[in-house]
Amino acid sequence: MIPSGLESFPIGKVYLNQDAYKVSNTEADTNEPRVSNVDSEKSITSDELLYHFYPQKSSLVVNALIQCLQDEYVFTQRCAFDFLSSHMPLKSDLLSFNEKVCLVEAGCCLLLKKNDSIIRRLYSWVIGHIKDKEGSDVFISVKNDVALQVFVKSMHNLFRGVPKDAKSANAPLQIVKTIFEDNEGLTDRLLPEIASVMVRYLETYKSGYEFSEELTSFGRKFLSSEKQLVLIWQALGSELSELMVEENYKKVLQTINLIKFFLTSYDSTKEKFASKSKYLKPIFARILMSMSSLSNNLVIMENTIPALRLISEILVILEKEAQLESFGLMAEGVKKFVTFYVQFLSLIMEGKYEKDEESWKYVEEAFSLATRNVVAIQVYVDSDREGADWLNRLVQCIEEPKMPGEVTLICIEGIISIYEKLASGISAYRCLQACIQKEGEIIAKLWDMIGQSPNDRKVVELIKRADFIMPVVLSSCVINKLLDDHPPRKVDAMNRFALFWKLAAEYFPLFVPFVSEPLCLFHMIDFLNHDHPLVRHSSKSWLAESTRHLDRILDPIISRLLKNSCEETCNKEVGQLVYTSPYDTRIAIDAFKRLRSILINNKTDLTNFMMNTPVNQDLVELYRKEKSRQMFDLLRERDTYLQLLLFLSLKFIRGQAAEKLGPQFVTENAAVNACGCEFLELILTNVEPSERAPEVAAWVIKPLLLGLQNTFVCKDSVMQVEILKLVRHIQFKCATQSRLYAENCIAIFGDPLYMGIIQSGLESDLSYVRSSYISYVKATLPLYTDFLGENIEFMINHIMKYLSNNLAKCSAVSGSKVEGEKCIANENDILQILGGVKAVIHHYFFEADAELEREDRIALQKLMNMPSGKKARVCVDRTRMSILENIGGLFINCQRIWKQPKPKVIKNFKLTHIGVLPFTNQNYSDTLDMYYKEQFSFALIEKEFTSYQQGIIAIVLPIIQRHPGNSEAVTIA
Amino acid sequence: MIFQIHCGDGDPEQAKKGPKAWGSSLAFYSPGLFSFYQFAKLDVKLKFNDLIKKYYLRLGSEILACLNGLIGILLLGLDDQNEEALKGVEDILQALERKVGTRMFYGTIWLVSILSCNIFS
Repeated sequence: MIPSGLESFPIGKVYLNQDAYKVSNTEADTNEPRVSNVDSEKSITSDELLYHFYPQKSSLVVNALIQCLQDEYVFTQRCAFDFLSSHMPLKSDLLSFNEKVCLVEAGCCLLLKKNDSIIRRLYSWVIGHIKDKEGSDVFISVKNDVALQVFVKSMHNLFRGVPKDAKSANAPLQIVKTIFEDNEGLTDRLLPEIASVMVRYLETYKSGYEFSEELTSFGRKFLSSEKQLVLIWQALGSELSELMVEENYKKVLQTINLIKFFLTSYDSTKEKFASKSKYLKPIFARILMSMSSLSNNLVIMENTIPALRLISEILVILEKEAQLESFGLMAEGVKKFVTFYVQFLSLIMEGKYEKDEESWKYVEEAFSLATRNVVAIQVYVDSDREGADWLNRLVQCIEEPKMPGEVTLICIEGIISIYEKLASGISAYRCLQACIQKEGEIIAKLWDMIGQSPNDRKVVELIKRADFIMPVVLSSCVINKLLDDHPPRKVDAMNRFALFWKLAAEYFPLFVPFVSEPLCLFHMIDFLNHDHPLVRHSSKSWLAESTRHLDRILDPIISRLLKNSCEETCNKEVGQLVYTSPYDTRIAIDAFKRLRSILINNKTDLTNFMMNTPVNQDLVELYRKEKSRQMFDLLRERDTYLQLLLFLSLKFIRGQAAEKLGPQFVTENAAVNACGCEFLELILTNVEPSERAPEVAAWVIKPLLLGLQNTFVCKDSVMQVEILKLVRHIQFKCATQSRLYAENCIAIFGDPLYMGIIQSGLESDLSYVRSSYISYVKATLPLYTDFLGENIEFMINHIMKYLSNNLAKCSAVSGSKVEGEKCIANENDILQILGGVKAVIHHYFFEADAELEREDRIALQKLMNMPSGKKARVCVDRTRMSILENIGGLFINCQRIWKQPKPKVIKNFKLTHIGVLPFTNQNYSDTLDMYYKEQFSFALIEKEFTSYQQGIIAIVLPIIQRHPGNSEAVTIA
Repeated sequence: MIFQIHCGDGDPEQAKKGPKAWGSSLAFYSPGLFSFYQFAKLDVKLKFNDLIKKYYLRLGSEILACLNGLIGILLLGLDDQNEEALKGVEDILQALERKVGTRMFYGTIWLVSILSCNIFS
């Protein structure tokens, strides 16, 4: 069909010479192609030109040209470009915009082949006009230039292709890269135009394709320069802005997703690109402003979620920037966002949203994100402002009892976030803190939600955060609940605590609750000894449930004990540990009391735990600061709680208060010493399995003996007895048929300090100290036979000597007061000493033989390669002899005994004793004879004997009866 | 000779009937003929030109059936270095344009470039 107006066109006129119909390039001021006809006087119009020379242009001519451009021969391609340059410049109207785009796109594909002549021709055709005669760029904006618009559009089309493999996927980026490398001046103008399409292309193929990884890697390389990133950010920002002006919120969302993708996947040079925030902030402000519209006035909340997430992510990046100055757009954005948030909160409080699971899920998520963001953006608000309506509403929402638990939790999280920001030193939050005021009530509400909310994990997490940021508030809130006088309420509070404890251990194994403010935990432990059985029961249940995480209970106690240190001086050689400044003795006593309570109530689990669990690193750090640790070489790398507790016990057993600290502190410290002893004894008693008890005892023997010796130096009579009890405990309660036990006993008896300690104890002026030591010696007599070997004689000799010395001393002062009441030696004292002597004699004369035959002793002998029974018997016999030889000396100076009224001599039962005057072996018979004649020639009737004399008779009589051959010393006439 | 037989050379009766009687069959055979043109020697090309002038240009609308091929080989002939041959080709092309009209003539050129792009090389 011939276009109108062409009917008169001369059919058959030859126009073969195409040069005649070239579109004039010289006339830059017009877009109309000028056609000249050299052969004809009549010039033809562009319509005529199109009709005759480019029939079916869109389908035929353009395709033919594309075919030529894609020809396998470079010559064809060159010809095609030459034709395009001469006959179809982009600024002419000969081709439509889309046709030009198709041709340029086909031309751009040739850039991949890297043929210089082709590339030169392509640039000449497309962007030749933006270069002046000297080849430098003439600035023409894309908006004002069709050719550039075509160029941009063709690049867009390149990114719209569907790649099949890595090569074709990278091709668009490669082409764009080549264009920008060859024409640096164009990057500023063209990259912003194609940024959105390019990022979308990268986003579309980011994953799920076999070439995705390669494409991403190529994209990252391409977009590695700051300049390019800035241009892309600008482009994305202005696109967002334009879409918002258009109120096309579907596309706004798409662009937001795109920004988010680019932010997370491509802009990884966060550190390098410091000025990014400059470009991010406007985008950020625009998103803030768009919130209300995005949600369609708070109707469809799911639309806002991507935007809210992006805000969160940008906030994280902006947070790293040193300068957080506000600016106009941002202030407006923040204001609009806060308005949006208040409206949102109001709707939630009014219950406007449907509670069906699907839509409520979106509302909940949107509210959570919005709350987080509204708190975070307060940094851009002037710190001098007064009040914050949104915050008041938030607090109201928390107080509202009808609110769903999730909403309350989100609100509380917001409040806790404010405190966290404040703690990190951001001043903008200071005035917000003033607005809250009711933090105690808020935390109490949070605490009450344990076990009530479907999202227990969230509740526990928030309590964890609160514990970190406001431990005092949390602790006092929990204590208030725990100290309720009403037992059921108290039990309820305890159960809640127990539940929290359990959940916290389950969800956050590394979190130790109430580390900085452990008072509430201590209350729970103290309830183990509460008067009310229900309370006790609850506390015990809690403890039983916590067995897997006992460190959470022990750590706060131990750390408090370690932190409660003072200045101290140690002398490892002498074994002295002296406090030179006071510490809080109450804390130490309480700590031991609590440890004791736990141990008593959960023996098996705690001992298992102590012996098998390495100490937490925090405690190890604290332990390393302890000066006194050099005294007790107990805790090493990866050692258990047992070692640490042993260290603490020993430290507090051994620590002596300097006198300068005053009598009160000295007394208080003595109480701590006693607590330490008590606890150490408890540990030793409860070691599980009991076979390991000697192993544990081995660690403490040396420090204990040193401590015991020191108690005599310091004249600390209480500890003299207490530590002896521990030593005794080790020897008897930690007794097993093991080599270790035998070694322990040998370690004790063989210690150079041991004899001195026994001497000091036996010779003590104090009746109860002395009686303890006599009792100890009585109890340990069988062990001497077992473990001392040839040294028994020496040991018994000394013991008898100390006893006799003391007997003499006591008898001398008996019944009289010497320097205060403590030196009163009475009948009991003498009887005690006599009891000791009796025990020694009784053991060696009547029991030792049987002892030597004991089965377990024989077994022990084999184990320890001890002297055989025969050798031991020789030792015992020698000891007997020694006793017999010395028995007379035992009663020297026992004036008190013999100054009793002489009893009547009855019948033939006479008892003679030596005594009063010192004697030697040489004059032994003479002396005996003398005393017999002069003083002791009396007969004693049993019932008329004094108690002392009865004691002596009880000692001597059996020996005489049994060993008449050795009765020179004691004669019964 | 085939042309002579078909066109009735020497047979006035046949000549009178004109080419229309057999034009369609000429178009049918032509593709076989055209393929020789590109690689033909100069003297053959000259003869070829004459053949086209003599027989093809005489055709009426039947020439359209073989126009694609004809223009295809003539375009190749434009590259010829021999002036006589080139002149002959140009004459033929002008005659063809006149015969089929400019629109058809150029339309065919574009079509030929789609169908056999490497004719330019």
